Amino acid sequence: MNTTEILNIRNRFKEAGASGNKAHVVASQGKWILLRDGSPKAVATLNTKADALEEVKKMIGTGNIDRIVIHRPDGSVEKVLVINSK
Amino acid sequence: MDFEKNVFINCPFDNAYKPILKSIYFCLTYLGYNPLLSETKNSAESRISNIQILIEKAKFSIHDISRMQASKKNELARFNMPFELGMDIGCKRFGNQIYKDKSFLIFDKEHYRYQKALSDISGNDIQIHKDIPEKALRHVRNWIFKQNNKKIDSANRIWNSFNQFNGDFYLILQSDELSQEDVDEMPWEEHRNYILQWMEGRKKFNN
Repeated sequence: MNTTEILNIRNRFKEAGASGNKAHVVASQGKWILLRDGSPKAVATLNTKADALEEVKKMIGTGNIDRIVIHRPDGSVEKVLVINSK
Repeated sequence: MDFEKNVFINCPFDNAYKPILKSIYFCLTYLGYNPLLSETKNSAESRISNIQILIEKAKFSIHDISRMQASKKNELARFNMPFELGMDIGCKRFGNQIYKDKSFLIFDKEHYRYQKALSDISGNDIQIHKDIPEKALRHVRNWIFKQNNKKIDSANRIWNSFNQFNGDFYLILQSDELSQEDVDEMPWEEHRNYILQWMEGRKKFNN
């Protein structure tokens, strides 16, 4: 990558950090939590991933959530669900 | 860079270890520290010279000896990590006054495993991450807290931010702004810059 491309990517990360349109399903200390972008605290804590995936559906349509990011226990991303607003 | 903020990370670089390294790296960057890894910057320098330079630059070190084992039958165990730990302990003991305050976090993956091969470090504070990135991140956060005894963000908050950062990294990768090759070959300092930019954006939320 050249310098301009690197600077563009840096800006993308800055913009991404400031975005608040995603919900996250995250493993934490043997449980599964739901997070909203930009909020440090869990919206809900569930015993199983299946429960968390069920619960996160309730966040659809609240606020401006347009994507749900489902994480693996190591913090990486398993998949992203894009929410159709219509 | 600042000796007081530099953290030398002595760890494996295999793919299986990468999730742990990423969580440690994020945690240190999040808390305002500069993680230093033995990436080859100058091929004219030997690997050992590069490591010596990093040991000299860093007040803090994380030494992960969890891969001190053979990966296959009839293969010898890897001893680079304990060797580098030994150099760092030597620097603290025999180096100038500035090095007397060096502080180490030593990781292994199971309780008492290291005693079978490296009993000399018994009595040191060895933390166990069980090959779980979240555990490693929590240990690093708590170790940093003990260095200064000042209020810092909780491990929960840092782990949650790490996941959120990974979500944005994934989406930027998906949008073709970065290729998988870019990511695989990305120097860690560049990765650090992206974390810092992302955190700059996060200030909007006034967490």
